[in-house]
Amino acid sequence: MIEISAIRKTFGDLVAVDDLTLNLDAGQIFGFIGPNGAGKSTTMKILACLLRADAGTARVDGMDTRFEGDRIRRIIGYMPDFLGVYHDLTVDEYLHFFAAAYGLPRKKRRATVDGVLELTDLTAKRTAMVDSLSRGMQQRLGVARVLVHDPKVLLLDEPASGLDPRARIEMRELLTELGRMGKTLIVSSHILSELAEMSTSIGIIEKGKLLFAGSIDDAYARIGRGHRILVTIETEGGADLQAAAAAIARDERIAGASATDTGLDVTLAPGHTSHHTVVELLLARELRIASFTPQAPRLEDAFITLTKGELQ
Amino acid sequence: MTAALRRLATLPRRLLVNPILARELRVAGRRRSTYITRAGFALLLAFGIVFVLLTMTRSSGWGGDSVVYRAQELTRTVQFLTFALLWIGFACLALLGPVLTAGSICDERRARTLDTLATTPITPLQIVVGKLTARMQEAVTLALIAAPALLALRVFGGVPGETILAFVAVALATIYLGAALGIWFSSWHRGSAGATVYAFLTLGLLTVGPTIIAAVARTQNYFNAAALGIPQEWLAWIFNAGFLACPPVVLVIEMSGAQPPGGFGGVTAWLAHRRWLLTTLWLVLQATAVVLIAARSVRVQLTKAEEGGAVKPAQAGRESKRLAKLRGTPVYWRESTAAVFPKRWHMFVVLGVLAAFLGWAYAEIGMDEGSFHQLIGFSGLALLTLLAAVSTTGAIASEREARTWEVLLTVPLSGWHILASKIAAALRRLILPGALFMLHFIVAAAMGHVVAHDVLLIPVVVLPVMLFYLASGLFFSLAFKKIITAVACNIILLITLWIGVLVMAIVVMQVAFDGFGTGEDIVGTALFIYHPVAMLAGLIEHAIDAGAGARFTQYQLANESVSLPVFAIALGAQAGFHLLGAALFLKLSLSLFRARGGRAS
Repeated sequence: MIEISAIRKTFGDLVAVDDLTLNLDAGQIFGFIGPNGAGKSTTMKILACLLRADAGTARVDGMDTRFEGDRIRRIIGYMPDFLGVYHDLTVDEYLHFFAAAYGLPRKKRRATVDGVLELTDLTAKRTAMVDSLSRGMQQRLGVARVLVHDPKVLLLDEPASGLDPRARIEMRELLTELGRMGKTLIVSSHILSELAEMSTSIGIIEKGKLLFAGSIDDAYARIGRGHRILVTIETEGGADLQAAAAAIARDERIAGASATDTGLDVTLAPGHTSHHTVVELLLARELRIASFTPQAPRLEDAFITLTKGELQ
Repeated sequence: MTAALRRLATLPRRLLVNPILARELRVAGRRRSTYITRAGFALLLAFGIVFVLLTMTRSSGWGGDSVVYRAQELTRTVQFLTFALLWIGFACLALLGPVLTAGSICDERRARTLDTLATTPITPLQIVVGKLTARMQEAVTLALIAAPALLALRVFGGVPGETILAFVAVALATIYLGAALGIWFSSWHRGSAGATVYAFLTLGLLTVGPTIIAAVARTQNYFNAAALGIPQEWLAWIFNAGFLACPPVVLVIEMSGAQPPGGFGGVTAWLAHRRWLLTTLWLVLQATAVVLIAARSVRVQLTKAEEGGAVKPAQAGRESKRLAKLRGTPVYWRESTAAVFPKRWHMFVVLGVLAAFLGWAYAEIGMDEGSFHQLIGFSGLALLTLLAAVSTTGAIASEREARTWEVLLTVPLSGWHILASKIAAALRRLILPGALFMLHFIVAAAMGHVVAHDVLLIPVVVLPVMLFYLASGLFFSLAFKKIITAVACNIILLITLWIGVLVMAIVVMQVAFDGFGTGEDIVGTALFIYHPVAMLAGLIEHAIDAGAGARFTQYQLANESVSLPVFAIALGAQAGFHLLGAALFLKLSLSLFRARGGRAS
């Protein structure tokens, strides 16, 4: 659905996007991660036909963004990081305006607008003036706007920024649902845990370079970060946690182990996912397990490692 | 009490030494437009000097042998040069006031920095005074640009020092009032283009209004001095005070050196001889009142609670009607249905004032007065052109400032569709004032004071001119990021085409052909056909004469009397010129949209 091939974009001396290549299939939710000014928004703007790449090609549904802007605009929905809204319109009028702009027949507009209002839970606010909405509501309205013409591709730049926790969860569920509906989404966000939960793949970009693109598991494998388990040990019997950690760390299936105040912090070697290994090793040393807490891998770790490790 | 006095004593320092002023001055120093304005002003003054020198040397015999005669000529030239500089300076500064400040609060609101300011201990008065002082500093800088030339001219005598002082004081006071009005309208108007128009109109009302009222009251003998128990000359002086509200009028009086009436003594006599000082004080007083009102308005903006929730049922009803008009041209729909006035009662106030003024004018002057139709014709054309000149200047720039432009560019509407819709909607919004303007002549035609077929020709003059400035405004809106820059450029274009071209023509004729000579008629006729004000005046003049039953049925084209077909051809040429210009600006806008509009393809 999206094919980006070696695109480059500069603004004066600043290289905003540098030799970026990316391919996404239909139905994928692609989480775009990077520090501020990394080139996420520029890439999205190139896909939205708002900027022309200096080199390379970007295609949306097989259409070249340099030459087929009019056709591409009909199948994409772009939501910029700062949502500009027409202050003199109501929510209903705002959506009707864009429905008309996308050329929806008059008879269909009402039903479409009703549908997206319901989907974004804005039905109760349909007669409110746009500038009277809270930031979170305006973000939802932004999502509603990009859905009025039922686009195949959604480019959402920081859609969850400024939302409260409940609204963030609702937004995440909405985007997941859109992914299930077969739409291709590119979503940038600074809230990495949320991206990890809804994305089918991620891309990490820094200083215009795409450092990584693939599944989240691939990202963990790339940074060599295995599954981590926190174990609490009953120490009434005088168990030597330092010695136990050192012994366990020697096993080839274990990447590392260290003693904590109450037990051990064990990380499995990359490629090893069976927690049973840890249990086996602990029982072999006759340690009594009080609790066993597998730690979910964190996207932040991948982000920090990849961005710092390669360019900074 | 002591605390209150202390607060009062420190008020100037608190107002003038504040971070807003410091920031404004710093930002103005970084802005390219600041230096462009200064350079443009200096160029204009230089042009004025060259123009006067050329005109004077060509028209007078400087080459004469008599030393006395040459000395007299020198004095006369110096006098003309000084007055030319003073008038150019005054006109530019007076026009600059509202433009300088009309965006000041709008921009803060749009950038959402006004909310941030609300969280600081800075008071609304400090905000207003800070912004105003920074702009006044720029005005003083501009005034100082003319100072070296004026001082140099003083060496050769010519104009008394007090006259120069009068011009500078009145100009600065006018700019103070204009800037204060600009900031006030900026505080409650959403866009700087609208704030500029309101500020200009109010400035006109405050300065020209009392003069008109005084003139009419005087000619119609509204007041009887004996009945009021005051000397007749005092009453005359009171009427004169009405004239003093208008800065250009008082400057003309100052130039003429007219003596005030007698009957005064002491301080009043001293003041009566310094009418410019009274005008300056009056302007400063009004401006200070406007500053206080503006500060209150900013306070309301800062403390205004978020308006939430649903709209009122009445609005909901209107809204569904509004939506019913949305067909296949969404940009036109949005622009044309946008409220012209921020609040509904503002519209009623404006219409009420207009109706009262016109009602009074109709009752007092009457439809049979020819000059009244000329006045309405000129005012209407000027107002409609000014409105057209600012209507589209915010069309693109405001979308950019509100960051809706990027979103609009992602919809599959073509550049042509967006631009044409913007112009069409702006024209649609001007239908009401245009219709009111035409209504006067239609009523006059129905009453038999003017001829109907001439009335039908009035839109042929007005509409193309409006389209021209709508298109040029759109072009400037695309070319510049800031609305206020686009507004300033379009108004400068208007002044250049209406006044600058005439001046240039005179200079060219003087330089190239040693005066008009034999080409005078040709150039004069060409300029007449070119200028919409002249053509409209010619048309209305004929309409009045023919309406009055005069046998004279020829139209005046400069010094020529021509038949209707010839006049119609001239009218067509002028309309064609403006329509061609509009098409050119639209084409340029489209090219600019493609090149820099923000779309890759």
